[in-house]
Amino acid sequence: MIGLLKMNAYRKGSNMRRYVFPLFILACLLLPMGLYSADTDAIQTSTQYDLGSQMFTFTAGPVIPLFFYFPYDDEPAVTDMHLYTGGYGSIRYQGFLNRYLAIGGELGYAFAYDRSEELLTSVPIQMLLSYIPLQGQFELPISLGLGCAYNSYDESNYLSLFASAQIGFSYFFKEEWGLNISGGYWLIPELYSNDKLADTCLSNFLPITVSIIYRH
Amino acid sequence: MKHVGPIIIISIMVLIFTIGCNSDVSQGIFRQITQSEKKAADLGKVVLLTKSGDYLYCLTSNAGLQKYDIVLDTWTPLGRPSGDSNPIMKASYSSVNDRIYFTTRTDDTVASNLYVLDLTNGVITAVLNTLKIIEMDAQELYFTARSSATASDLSLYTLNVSDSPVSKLDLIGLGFVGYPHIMVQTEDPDSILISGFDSTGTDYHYVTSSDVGADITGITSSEIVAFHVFDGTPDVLVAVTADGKVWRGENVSSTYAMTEVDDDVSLTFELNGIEGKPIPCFFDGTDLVIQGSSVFYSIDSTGAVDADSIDDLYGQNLEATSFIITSYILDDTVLYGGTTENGLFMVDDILGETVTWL
Repeated sequence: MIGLLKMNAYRKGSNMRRYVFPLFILACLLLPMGLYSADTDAIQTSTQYDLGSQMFTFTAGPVIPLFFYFPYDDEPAVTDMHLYTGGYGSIRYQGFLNRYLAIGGELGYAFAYDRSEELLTSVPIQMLLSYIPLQGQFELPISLGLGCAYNSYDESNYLSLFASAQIGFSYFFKEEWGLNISGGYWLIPELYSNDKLADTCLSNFLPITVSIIYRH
Repeated sequence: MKHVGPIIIISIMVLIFTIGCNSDVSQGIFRQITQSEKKAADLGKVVLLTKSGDYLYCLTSNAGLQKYDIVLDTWTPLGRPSGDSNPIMKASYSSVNDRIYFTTRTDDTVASNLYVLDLTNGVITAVLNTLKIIEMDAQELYFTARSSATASDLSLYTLNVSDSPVSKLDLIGLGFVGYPHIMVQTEDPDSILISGFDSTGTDYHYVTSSDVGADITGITSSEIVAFHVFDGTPDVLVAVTADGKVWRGENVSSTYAMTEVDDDVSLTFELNGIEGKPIPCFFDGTDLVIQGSSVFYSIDSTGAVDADSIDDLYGQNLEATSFIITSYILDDTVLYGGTTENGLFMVDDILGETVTWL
């Protein structure tokens, strides 16, 4: 019994240790911002934006392949995608329609290698609608995007639709500058008809991104 | 009228998404990705020589001769000749002697060093170094060679049980010039086809079956890159040429008068290094099978091409565009394949779908 308790304690300790390094990195990133923010009393804690407010966002981060869904296959969901975690970078511009809603666009570049070390690239261009219910020094943006993506792999190219959803947490260490960490979901459908109908696929990805935000 | 702009933009977008701008070789991008396989980077190009027991014997471009244990999933190097550090360039299995013969790289002005590997004890010994070996079939010991490094002759050779060279055909005497390619029908090693040019620069082909030679006429526009002789009365030769055409002819008076089976048929496949060099193929019991650019083709004795039947079986798990096959061994109903970058694969049953990457 005591051995079992020790084992559980060890496992808990092991799980704790797994999170120590990421938490340490996060603390290292956030603490200097706290110092910055100490003298930024002017930062508002209520509504921050109004019609005409603007926001520029520069983003980078990993993209985790989730699964492919081939609707015409006997077993449509393929979780063993043969695709490794890739990366994503983007620039985004948004203008506010009112205090809470912003609309704009994002141009990005995503990449990932498959098992044969062949490169999949995707260049999404999307229209974005963001809702920011919590505003000020800390923000909670929620975004939906719709557009198209130019996908390339080996000798193949495909212009597809592109849809995204994203939720994040932003911390503004200055009145105009902030950092954001977000998680999201991408849907890249590859639609075919006739002879290639069976290759119709809904591909699903999970981007986890860090952004620098400039608001004005 | 004020909505004309958005309507045009939306129409163009719909058009793009439904009919245009999408170019892919065969399958959808994400389908191709699910079928990609890890590259066997350490070994490089893997050419199957033979299967013996649980072992596949291979020549690799990066690691010389290797033995793969199918059960233990392990690779074992088969050694090198002592005193010769040059890379192993060509290798061939002899079913007559149950041994592997191979050559190392030598200068053009020097005769080839031919060695033999005894599969029973792993001992490598030198066999001869008088011939200048030009091309060697991997799975049956036939090779083209000049009688010396400086000679201008060219013959088709094999070795007898005493490892002495036996000239099978005088290729220059037959009318070939340059260095024609040889193809050996693996499941019937007595059928050998030679494809090259004659003195006028015209494509010229010759086939022997059980040492009975036959001219091939009618194909003058391209080299033969794959073939099969279907036994019968008379024998039927089906051949694929480098330009993707399929030809058929019957053996009448030691001549196969070939005709193109169907003008509309044009197969697409990866070149084996250079155009005109034989491409890997195997006979599945009824059809000649080759790897196309996007599907596997099976060709029957009438020359009819089927691009669907294998795709419904193991072909669906062997995405033909993601790797290039160098060689096949069909052991009963189990198919083994070597590839240029992806190591080996195994089809458990050629009538099934399962593919295992080794």
